[in-house]
Amino acid sequence: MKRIDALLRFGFLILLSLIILSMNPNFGKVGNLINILRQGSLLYILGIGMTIVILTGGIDLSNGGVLALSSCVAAIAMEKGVPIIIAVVISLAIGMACGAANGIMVAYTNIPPFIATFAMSYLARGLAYIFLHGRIIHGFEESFRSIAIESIFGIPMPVVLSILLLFIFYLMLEHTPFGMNIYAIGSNIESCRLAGIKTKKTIVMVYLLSGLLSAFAGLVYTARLNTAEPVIGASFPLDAIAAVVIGGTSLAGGEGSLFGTVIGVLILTIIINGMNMMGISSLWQQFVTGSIILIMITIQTYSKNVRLKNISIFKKGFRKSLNS
Amino acid sequence: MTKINPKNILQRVPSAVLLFIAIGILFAMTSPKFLSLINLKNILLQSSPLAILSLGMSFVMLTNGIDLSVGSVVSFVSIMTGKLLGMGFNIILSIFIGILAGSVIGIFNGIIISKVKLPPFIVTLGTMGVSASLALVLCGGETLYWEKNWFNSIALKYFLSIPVTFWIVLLIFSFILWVVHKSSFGIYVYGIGSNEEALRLCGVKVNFYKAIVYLINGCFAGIAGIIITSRIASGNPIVGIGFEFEAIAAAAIGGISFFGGKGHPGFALLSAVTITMLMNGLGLLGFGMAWQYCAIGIILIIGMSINILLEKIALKQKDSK
Repeated sequence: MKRIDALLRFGFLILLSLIILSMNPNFGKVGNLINILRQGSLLYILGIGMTIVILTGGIDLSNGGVLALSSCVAAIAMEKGVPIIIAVVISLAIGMACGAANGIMVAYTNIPPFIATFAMSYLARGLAYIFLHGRIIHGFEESFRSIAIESIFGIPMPVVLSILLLFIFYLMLEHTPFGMNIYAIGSNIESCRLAGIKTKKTIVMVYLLSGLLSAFAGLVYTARLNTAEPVIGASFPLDAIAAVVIGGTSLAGGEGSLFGTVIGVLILTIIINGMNMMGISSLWQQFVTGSIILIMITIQTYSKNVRLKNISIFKKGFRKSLNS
Repeated sequence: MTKINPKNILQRVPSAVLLFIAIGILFAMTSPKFLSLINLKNILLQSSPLAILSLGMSFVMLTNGIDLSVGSVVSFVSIMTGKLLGMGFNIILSIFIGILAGSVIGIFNGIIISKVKLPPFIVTLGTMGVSASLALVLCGGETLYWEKNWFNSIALKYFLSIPVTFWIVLLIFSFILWVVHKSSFGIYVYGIGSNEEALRLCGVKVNFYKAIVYLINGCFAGIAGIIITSRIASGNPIVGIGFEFEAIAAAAIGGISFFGGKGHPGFALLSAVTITMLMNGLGLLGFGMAWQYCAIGIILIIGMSINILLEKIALKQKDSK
């Protein structure tokens, strides 16, 4: 039954692409298709983290703030002459620390994920401002920038990296006990605990991975823009949530997939790319994104309700036949 | 009809009260200007929009919902009234249309959430984008100005040395107190949050009341938008960004449960004032925006931890009885 939903989303994606293609043939050129992938690359990376967090029934509003903090820390470290590798490691470690703090607040202190991660986003962004003293650092070494501007066989590096990460996390989610635990915690955390799964440690781990991915996205972003400033990424949490939701992952947890998130990001980026190609003002972008969210979720819920109704009708008939 | 007993609600005092007292004492000791009459007036003035939004948000959260669209609604209302005033419209009519615009988005949220039965988080995420974009499109991305008139002075006037805007907050608060304590609607709001299905089986029109809650929230967002527009004396398409999260945070520190049915809107009002007080006090001491961001994050974490601790203690007491 889940396949019907996946097909529905995929069909919507194809339909959308065909409509844009019929209006502007340039849309189908290889250069533009690669561009679409590149535009979405940050959202894929953040979307992975958001998906695993939402699968456990949580939410992560901190990825924008953590992204800004890790980007600023890496920039300051490189400015001070720290070797690139160490700067990268420090910034990833800070992302992991923020994520772990989120996880501890959610799992051990029982603060609702919404508030815990929102507080963390304020904290991280505030620290980023404090560290940079209102400056903007720009001009990084080529070897650092290569993670964003190089390309392999014509495919840009951010796309390669995001595909690699998607593949790794797909394997983790579908083929390891840890991935199974994530799904199980989202469905019923209490029965997981009773079954002997270490739910708290798993939740901390999930938020930690989300923080790590945010920090990584921050590095790619910094390398691509060649600047680090504390204001970046303010809209990323909601964009990532939109992509995950369009991808059919349930906010209640336990239901959804990374494949859906990929489709969600593709839908969002194709719409924005198509609107740019048709010369529609960027002021309309949020309007279209918001409408797409409403339309997609309505279709999904409707198809789910129809299925549920069929089942319950069947059950009623079954009961009647039992009674008579 | 049973009435909600004020004692039951007031039994668990959330951390907002403690934080209010602690932050008040801290800044009163460190900054001599903090307790001056001008600054206290200023705090009330600054906190008015957030207070109104958090009152509305606590209503929505009591029904086990959430509304992410209020920030964008504030921007939209700001642009709407700015546009009308710029065209030389009647001022009272412009205010009315502005609040109406907020209410329309609210009732749209409410109808979709209650009739089509979609999750509130996603629906309001959608309308958030839609209304933010409408605000930008309507003004073409520019800030709107108009000839100076008495609309600009709504946020400047004082009545009995309390800002007019805070009188509006008090008016709204008394309405909410009446709803919560004296009307059947208040009982339904708490009921929807604790057990919607049971209420439906009792014959209450759950969908209708749910839609009304979102309507009220949209209307309050409209009023907050009018106040902000008057304060900045211009229509700004991005003025409301981030307000939704601040309102949710204020409601949460005020002890409103994320799962509905628990808490009292009065404490949400108090925590909105507390958050403003914190920012104001840090500003007086010379700490900039960066430190204010950090402080809000820390206060949120501390406040929620205290709330959870208090809840645990209350549960233990219940068990021992």
